[in-house]
Amino acid sequence: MTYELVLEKTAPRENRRVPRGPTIVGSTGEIFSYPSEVSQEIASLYSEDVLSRATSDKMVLRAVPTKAFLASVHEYVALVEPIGATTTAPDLETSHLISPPFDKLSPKAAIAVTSQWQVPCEGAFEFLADYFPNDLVRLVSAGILKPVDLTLAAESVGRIPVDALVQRTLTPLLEHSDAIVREGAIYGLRGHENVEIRARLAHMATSDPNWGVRQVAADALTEF
Amino acid sequence: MSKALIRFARKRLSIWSHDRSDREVQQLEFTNRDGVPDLRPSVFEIEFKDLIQAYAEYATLRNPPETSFGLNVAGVSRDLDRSPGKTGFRFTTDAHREVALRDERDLLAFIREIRRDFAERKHDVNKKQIVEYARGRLAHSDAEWLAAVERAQTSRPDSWVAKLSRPSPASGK
Repeated sequence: MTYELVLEKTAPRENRRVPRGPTIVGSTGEIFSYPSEVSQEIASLYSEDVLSRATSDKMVLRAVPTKAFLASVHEYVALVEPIGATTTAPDLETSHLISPPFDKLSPKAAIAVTSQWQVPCEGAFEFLADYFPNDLVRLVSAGILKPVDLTLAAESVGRIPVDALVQRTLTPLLEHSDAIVREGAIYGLRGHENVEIRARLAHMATSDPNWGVRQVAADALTEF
Repeated sequence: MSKALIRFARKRLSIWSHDRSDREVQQLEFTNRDGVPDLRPSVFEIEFKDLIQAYAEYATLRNPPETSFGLNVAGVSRDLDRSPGKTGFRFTTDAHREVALRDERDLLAFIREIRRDFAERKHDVNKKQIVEYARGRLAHSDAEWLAAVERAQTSRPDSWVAKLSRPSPASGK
């Protein structure tokens, strides 16, 4: 998969939270940033390498997201190839380049997650929980994930260290029609329970129609 | 008498309901965290009497401990490879095997076979049993369990294994 970006030589606009140095913006003005530990180095390398070859204020780049995106700044920059100069943003829609369901994420999150995973999976959802929690919450709440994916995404929501957000996102899933989703929601709520949720779990432990859900709800109410 | 080959349920108990498809079972129970089908699923070659010990040791890798079940996959005609387990306990390290599957199609066939007589293969093991087992081993100063707790206190202080060293709420201490 490739993704076209526009590299601006101009300074970041005041209201954009981006690292110092050149910014990378998508065709519709999105800002792409990098893990904090590498952002400064990337900015520096762009300044020295890519921008030295730029012939105008804006330059179209083709970025190839790979695992190197997070592993090595140098490898990543090597994969960013100038493919032509332009003075206007190219006609490019992010949703055409990122596979579902990741096309529903913000461009920044979509690029980051698809640089490592092409399909919904535990690793991708955990990554979103750790680095793009609001994107994961939106994805879980959107009702577009298949039950086998939604159950893993729901459990990953539990990694977000904000009780109220986790509760608000997962409590509705305790009533989901699919047992594996209810089970995933219970896993996600572990450590985020309040009195109301514990009461719900107690009820599910005795009344849920699915054996597995009853077991998991009962487990959630016991020690550990 | 031949030993059982126990595969512990890993992700969702309810995925094993009869109304789920083999593909759904594969996607949840036989897929690694990067979404790649697991063509070398882990099993433990043990006697049934050792089921709780095996699951308790296996559960030290997880947090929290969960009610689950072991599926005896004995009788499915696949090669088994010896592969050291990662539990840190000699028993489950030695008993660990990997089922050698050819490809994704073979994996789905394997799942279909074990689901066919699921009720006979399923052996429940619950959270209370393994916590009691672990506490019992610690009460007997089992060197491996003491080491497991020490490791967990360093690397995963919030894990159930690390917390085993604390008094049980039920003990009233």
